[in-house]
Amino acid sequence: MSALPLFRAESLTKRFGGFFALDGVDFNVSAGERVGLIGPNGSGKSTLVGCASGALRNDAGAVWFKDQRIDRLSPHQRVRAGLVRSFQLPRPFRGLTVVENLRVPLFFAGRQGREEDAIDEALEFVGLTARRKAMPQDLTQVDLRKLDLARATVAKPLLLFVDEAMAGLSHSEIDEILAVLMRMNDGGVAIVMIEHIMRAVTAFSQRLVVLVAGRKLADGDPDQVLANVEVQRAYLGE
Amino acid sequence: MVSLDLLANAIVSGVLLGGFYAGVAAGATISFGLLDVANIAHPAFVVFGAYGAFLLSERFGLDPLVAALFVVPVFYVAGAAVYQVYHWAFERRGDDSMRGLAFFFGLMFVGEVVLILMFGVDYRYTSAAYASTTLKLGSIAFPLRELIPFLGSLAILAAAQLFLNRTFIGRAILGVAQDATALRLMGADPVRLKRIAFGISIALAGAAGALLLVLEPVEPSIGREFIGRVFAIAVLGGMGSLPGTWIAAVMLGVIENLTSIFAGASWAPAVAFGFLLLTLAVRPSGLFGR
Amino acid sequence: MNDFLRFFGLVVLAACALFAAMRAVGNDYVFYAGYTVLEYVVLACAWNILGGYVGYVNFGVAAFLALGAYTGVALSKIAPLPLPVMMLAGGVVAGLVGLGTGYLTLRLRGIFFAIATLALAVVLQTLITNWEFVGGSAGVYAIRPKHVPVFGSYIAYMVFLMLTLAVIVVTVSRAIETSGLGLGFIAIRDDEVAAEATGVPTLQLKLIATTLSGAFMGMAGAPLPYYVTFLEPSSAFNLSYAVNSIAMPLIGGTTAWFGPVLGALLLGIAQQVVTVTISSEVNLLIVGLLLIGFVVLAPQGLIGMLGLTGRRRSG
Repeated sequence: MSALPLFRAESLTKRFGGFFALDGVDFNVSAGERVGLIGPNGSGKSTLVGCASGALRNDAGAVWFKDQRIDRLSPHQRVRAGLVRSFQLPRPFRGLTVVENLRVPLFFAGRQGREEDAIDEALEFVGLTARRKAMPQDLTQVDLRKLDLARATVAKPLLLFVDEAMAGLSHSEIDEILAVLMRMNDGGVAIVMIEHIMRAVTAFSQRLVVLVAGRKLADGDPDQVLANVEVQRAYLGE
Repeated sequence: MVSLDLLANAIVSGVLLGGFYAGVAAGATISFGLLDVANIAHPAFVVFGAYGAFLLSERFGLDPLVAALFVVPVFYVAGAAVYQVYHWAFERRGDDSMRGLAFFFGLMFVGEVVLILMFGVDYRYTSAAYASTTLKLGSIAFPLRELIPFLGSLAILAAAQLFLNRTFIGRAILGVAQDATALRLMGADPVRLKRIAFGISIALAGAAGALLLVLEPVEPSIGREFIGRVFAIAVLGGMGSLPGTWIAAVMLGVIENLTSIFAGASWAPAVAFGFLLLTLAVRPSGLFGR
Repeated sequence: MNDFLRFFGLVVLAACALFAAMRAVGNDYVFYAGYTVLEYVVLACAWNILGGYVGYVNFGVAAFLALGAYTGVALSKIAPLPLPVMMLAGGVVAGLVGLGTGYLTLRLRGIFFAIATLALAVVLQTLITNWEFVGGSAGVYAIRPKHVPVFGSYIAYMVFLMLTLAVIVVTVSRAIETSGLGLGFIAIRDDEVAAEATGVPTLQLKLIATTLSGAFMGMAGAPLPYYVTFLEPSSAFNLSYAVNSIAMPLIGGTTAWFGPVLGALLLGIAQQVVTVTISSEVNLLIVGLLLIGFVVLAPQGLIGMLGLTGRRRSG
């Protein structure tokens, strides 16, 4: 393991007009780590993911991945380097079947040859083998989330940002997604989970980061962070 | 050596023209800037408004400004209907902007051909008395055919601004531009709001068309030169800011007029597009944008 | 590879059969009409590479066509060149302009690229109208060479060249459809943000599509001066080129090469009839109404209605 973290955001700042979505946030992720990212609505979580993945350009601060500055890299370049994100609402390619959806990252981002086996493996990994020929419009919510994760898996990520993948899912469906994410982490993928569903985040995370109003409020052991008075006030005193 | 008189008159004329362009673009600021509907047929509606005013003026002897009052409600209904079709066919199905653009392009083209079939390709103009009168302030000329569209456009912009700032629907539209989900949670129907706002944008186009007839003779393809102007103004003006629209329009009018006088009239249409390309390359949010 | 060669062979065969049939009629009129229809096959397929596969609308078809035509005119004033060479030159110039336009505007939303193509048409028309070297607003004459080896008449030769170009465009379209490039195009069309987040280099792919599309249009434009024999800007930049190039793929279907071809054949032939029997304005009205009708009511196009799209549906 390298001495420096796999992913480093230093003093990350992002403005929208006069509004500071992120204000000097430091955020690190080590290789193979499971980090939970929580905070009230509008606290900047999705903005952080946006800046990390390249969908947004940070106005100040620096973003490092594998010891290289990636601020200027476009999202697809970061994907090829191993930094992948999923979206809050599933975004499948509607004109393609499940298998074809996976062929896209395989062709453009897969870094271990171009075999079709990788697709079959990914489908089995998330549990979508039976739905390989289905079109996205025929998939259930949880299956769409699994497709997102399968797409991410095919891209062979080193770090995956999972943005609220469990919203709107039932209890057992949440467990299904959690299981997939744990399996991915077992395979060596560092995962940052952005979630509101507390039981999922606390069960999953080795470390918990709290974002409030664009600033980092807490960063450490999940139990200690949640016991922090200020964190509780941020959530309950709204 | 360029005479100061010529320059001053060119600038004044440019300001008057630009002010009129703002009236033409006001509706597009709403439909494109706020509602995010890429209606490239907007200038076609303006031309239809001009021909509508022409018809009323021929048949009933109405002054174009009076004709505008009749044109406006008809165009509102037409605009609402067009939006309904657009929403049902494209917006609802998800992001298919290619077909939406093709739809408006088809409307624009069919509109032009219909006008050719109905009126022929000859120029049509109004025979209103004031159309050939010119006020003079010292050595600066203010032709009424330019001044009236300038003032009329101010009225159009004022009406649009009132709508956006003072009515519930207008303020909701400014809200829709930000967050459709929040609006739905408030109990407002985003589709109905957008339909009303789009109808208004077309009604404003019709009114601007009546003013166009006062400004100059019209022929069916005249709308094309306004596509560049309308979108250049909408983008430069900040995509939804009416004061920004007016300032951007006046700037465009002045530069276009100066270009026309000193470099030749054939270069005038290129100015607007050049403006637009420059804006897009340098600052896509415009000079006054959010 | 075998599949590709088989397809190419079939298309070449079909083209040869078509040319032989046209010769058999023994009347040059067939070639005049056929040239226009084939020109539209090329333009519709070329437009579809960017418009149908990737989802970016090009309104300035006439600009690229005119670039091909006027590149040829300019070159022939310097030194007379064979038509195929002029087609290549036209393709290079138009392709480069497409690349430049794309580079400036494809980072922005689709509507801005579309308007930029309109802008291109207006600016280019102004430039050419003021450029005396290629005739300016007065126009320029292009005399067809008298001596034509093999083909007999010059118009038959031009049809042959346009047929060859059509074969190339159709083959390239099919190659795109079955390749990773085509997959990337579909991803961009369906959800550009998701495509980028899945590793697709969206800007590069869009530029490839724009350049290819523009180049083919430019190649189609190179013989135009010799077809009309008198070329003037207002006819070269006619909006009906854009309307047809957009209507034909949208009516035929945008997901496969067969759509624009079908649309071009049907509409192209129909227009030849209507323009002569009724009027050119009514003809354009019908095309415009069909465009609106299909776009609103039948987004899958004719090939969709006939169930010929295969696996690929439009997003």
